[in-house]
Amino acid sequence: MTATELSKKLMQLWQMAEWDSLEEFLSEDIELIILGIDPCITGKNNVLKVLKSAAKTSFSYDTKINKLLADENYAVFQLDSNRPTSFLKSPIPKNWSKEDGILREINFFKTAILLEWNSKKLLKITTIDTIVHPPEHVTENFISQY
Amino acid sequence: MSDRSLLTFFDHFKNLEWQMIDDMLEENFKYELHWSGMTFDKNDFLTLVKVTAEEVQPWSTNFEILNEVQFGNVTVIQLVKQGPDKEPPTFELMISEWVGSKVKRMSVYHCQKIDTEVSNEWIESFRKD
Repeated sequence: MTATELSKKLMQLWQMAEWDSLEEFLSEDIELIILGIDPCITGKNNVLKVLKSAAKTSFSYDTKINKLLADENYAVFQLDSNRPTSFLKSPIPKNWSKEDGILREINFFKTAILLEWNSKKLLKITTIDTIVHPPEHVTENFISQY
Repeated sequence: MSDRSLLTFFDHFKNLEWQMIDDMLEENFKYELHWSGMTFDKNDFLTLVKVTAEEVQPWSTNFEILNEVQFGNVTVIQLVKQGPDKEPPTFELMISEWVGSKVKRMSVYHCQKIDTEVSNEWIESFRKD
């Protein structure tokens, strides 16, 4: 299987929470890097715990894979989804509290997932989750500066 | 450095060398700045980065490249930017697609650095389970 096929299969298993099958794709010393969270999470068991704990949150019913770019050893997914909180339920910035108006009941997120493969085993997952701010926030905090 | 490295692109950005950046971009270039929900064409992108770096956010040229991965016609670069004053740093992941020797699309994701103590507590909660 190519990295494209492996990555599609892995993503399917992840979304369907088929953990026993998914585990077979992970190397023993896999690294999960969540940009913004330090340190990274290492080892198959620890990474699986994180993926399992947030499966329902990470992939909402309307998660859409916008793009998959891949070759022999790398693949990068670009996802759109509407969710109450961050991908993998990782901690959110302090200023996202509802009082400040950034995090709402449901928010639009764009997420990138970079996968690094070697010999059909996943060595590294890097994720980054970006909240797409509503137009009024962008106007207030971005356009007004220019 | 390979032909599809973006390290030179960021050197030009730090040095405010806009013509050099212009030369690296395809005419139909698109820049997707996801947090804003906006997509910029080549001219608007060049205006945006110039005004940002020279006037609005001069600190935006203060960043460190963490990692660069190249495969096929894709370059993925990760960097961390220092914020102004006491604001936390921001991480960016930029997915760039090339046509020949020019960049045709940049897709930029970003997130804030989470307080280290908060991150550690979260990671520790999995180790205890």
